[in-house]
Amino acid sequence: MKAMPVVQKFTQLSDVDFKTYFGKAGKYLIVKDDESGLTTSLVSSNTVYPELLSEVNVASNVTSITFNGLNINNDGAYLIEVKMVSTTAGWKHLRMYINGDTNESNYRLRSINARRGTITVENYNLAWVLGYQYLSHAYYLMTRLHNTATITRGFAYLTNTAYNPPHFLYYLQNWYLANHTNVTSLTFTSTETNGIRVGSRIAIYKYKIF
Amino acid sequence: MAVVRAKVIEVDVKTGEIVETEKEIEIPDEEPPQPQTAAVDAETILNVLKRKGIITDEDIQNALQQGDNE
Repeated sequence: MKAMPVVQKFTQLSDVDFKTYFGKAGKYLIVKDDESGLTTSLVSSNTVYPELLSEVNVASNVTSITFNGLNINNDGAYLIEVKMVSTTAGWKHLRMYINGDTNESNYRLRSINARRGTITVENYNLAWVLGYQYLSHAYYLMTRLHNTATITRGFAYLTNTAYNPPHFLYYLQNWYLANHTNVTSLTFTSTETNGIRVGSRIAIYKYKIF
Repeated sequence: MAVVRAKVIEVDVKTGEIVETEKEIEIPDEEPPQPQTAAVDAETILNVLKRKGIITDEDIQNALQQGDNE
């Protein structure tokens, strides 16, 4: 009778691919989405923790940045960080388009903004997410994009906050209303040609949420 | 919307590939359009946000102070 080899290490298991775990020290093991085996993750199953999907640090001025290959149905929700560097005076605006849809009538924007001590409420059909104005200033945005398509129409994203200290502060609720069932790409476009300047950064994190 | 030839960055999130290229894209209008529906009462929205725990009275005071500090 042939003796079975003695398995002494986890990575000697026959259904374990050593390459899957190489360089993943400190990460959790979780069951794959298709339940075919194990993979690694930054988080345990009951922890909400953003995991960086992709980031762009702008090294030369561009007009637009597109992130392709997204899948909010699998990823749950997206946390999006934007830092826009303004190197020219005058208002420039940043739009965030979902699935390449530049038809602004498919977007809703409600904002509460505080500027010069006055709080204003605004309501637009617009894919606007951030304005940037002054020379040599940085403007910041953090927004959460939720998958609301399963319970209502479209995708909602809540921004807290878009701001340029100490000049303005925005709270935004945006809504993408077109009849899509997934978010597969996000495009950030400036109203100024080459208006996304050197030093700007856009990062997208995924995290599971309700 | 105006169509212009401009430098863009395209990222494939799955592969991590980042490509900088030049192509024709639509540039949105500089000025935001006018509101298409009546403005909602600010106090109503602030109360909703406070009830949901998104903002606090302190947030609002800080926002006011930012404007005052200009």
